[in-house]
Amino acid sequence: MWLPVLGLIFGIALGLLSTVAIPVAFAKYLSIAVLASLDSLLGGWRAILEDHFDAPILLSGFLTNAFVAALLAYVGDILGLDLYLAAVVAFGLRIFSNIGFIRRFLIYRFRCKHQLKAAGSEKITLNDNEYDQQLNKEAAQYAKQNREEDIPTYHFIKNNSTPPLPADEPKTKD
Amino acid sequence: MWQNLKQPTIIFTILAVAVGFMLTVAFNSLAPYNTAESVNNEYKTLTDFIIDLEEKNAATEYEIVHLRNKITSVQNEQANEEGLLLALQKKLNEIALAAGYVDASGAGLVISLDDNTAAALVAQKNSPETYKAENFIIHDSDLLYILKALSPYTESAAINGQRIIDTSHIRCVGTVIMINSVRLAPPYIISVIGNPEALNTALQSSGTFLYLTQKKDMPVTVSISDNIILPASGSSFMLTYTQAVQTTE
Repeated sequence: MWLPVLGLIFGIALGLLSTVAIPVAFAKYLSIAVLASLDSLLGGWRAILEDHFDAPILLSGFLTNAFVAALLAYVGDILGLDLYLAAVVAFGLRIFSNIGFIRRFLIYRFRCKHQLKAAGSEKITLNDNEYDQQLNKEAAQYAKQNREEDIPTYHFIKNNSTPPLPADEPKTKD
Repeated sequence: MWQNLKQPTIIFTILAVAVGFMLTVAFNSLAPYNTAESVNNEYKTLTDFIIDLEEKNAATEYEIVHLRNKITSVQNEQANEEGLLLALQKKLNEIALAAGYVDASGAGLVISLDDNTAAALVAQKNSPETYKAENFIIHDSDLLYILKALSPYTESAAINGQRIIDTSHIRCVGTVIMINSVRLAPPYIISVIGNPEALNTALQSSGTFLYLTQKKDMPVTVSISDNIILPASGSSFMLTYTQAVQTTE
């Protein structure tokens, strides 16, 4: 997960080094677009954790959300309505909910690994991605049993404090 | 690390670069706007600063007057006991009175000058194209010329409670007149202690007074008073470079 962080820093450095500056009149719309893209970025991270990452959906969401948010702000300015607030509120809420999910997920994974380690399980040798895949598989099963079809991992993590992976399940690694 | 790299991570990284870039471009573009706001704030701070300094100035002037009175009373107390000091103290009090460092009272002339707002309104209504606001207000020069005309007979003077001493200055700053760095508003009351008859004659024959009363028809009132009270000057005056000439015999 270090590469995206490096990418973010690289992007910021690129922006600081370049002298690209758009007119102040449009800077407001760019700010809204930045908010929308930030939301897409966090949504992408969440999708990676939930193991249903879909590149076309993420990319199209990134572009469409940013564009529509800026357009909404522009139309709001024409009509004399503060429509940009709609985008700010919507994306603000989504950013917080995504951050909340990511936070819960990371803490949950940490706890599970800790418990597995304490139990001396072989699953400790899994890397984070492989472990997440296992976790999501278990979560989907759990959701199916409990008729929780919408965002299974989130509900699973929310309702369970114990690791879903039994410590004694053997895992062979080639 | 690289062999573990999957499609999601690569796309995610590209998005992160884009978001970082957009973030800084938005920041760069809004930077001048933010600076303009901070400049406004700076002006506000400067205004507060000036008001603060003016308050401090007034407090310090009050303290100076208070301390001078204290010194005078202590000196008077001591002088009462000793004969030689008494004469010296009397001389000192006279000099302080002449210099304007103590409250003064006496007979004299009180002149009130006000802006001609009524005529200004009429002129503005009847001939707006030739209307000039400055023709209907009292200027700093008017006050200076009147003081100058009265000066041969003036012993002490004050305008709107500001004692006029050697170092006093009268100037206009925008739309207000400042005397001793204090902003004053019309009407301007010039109180002068001196021979009332002589002062009145000097005033009535001064060009500025005639111009203001007869040509411009300003609301001017003149009254002779038996008991004018002038406040002490709050200005401090110190000789830093001037020295008495040493006389060798």
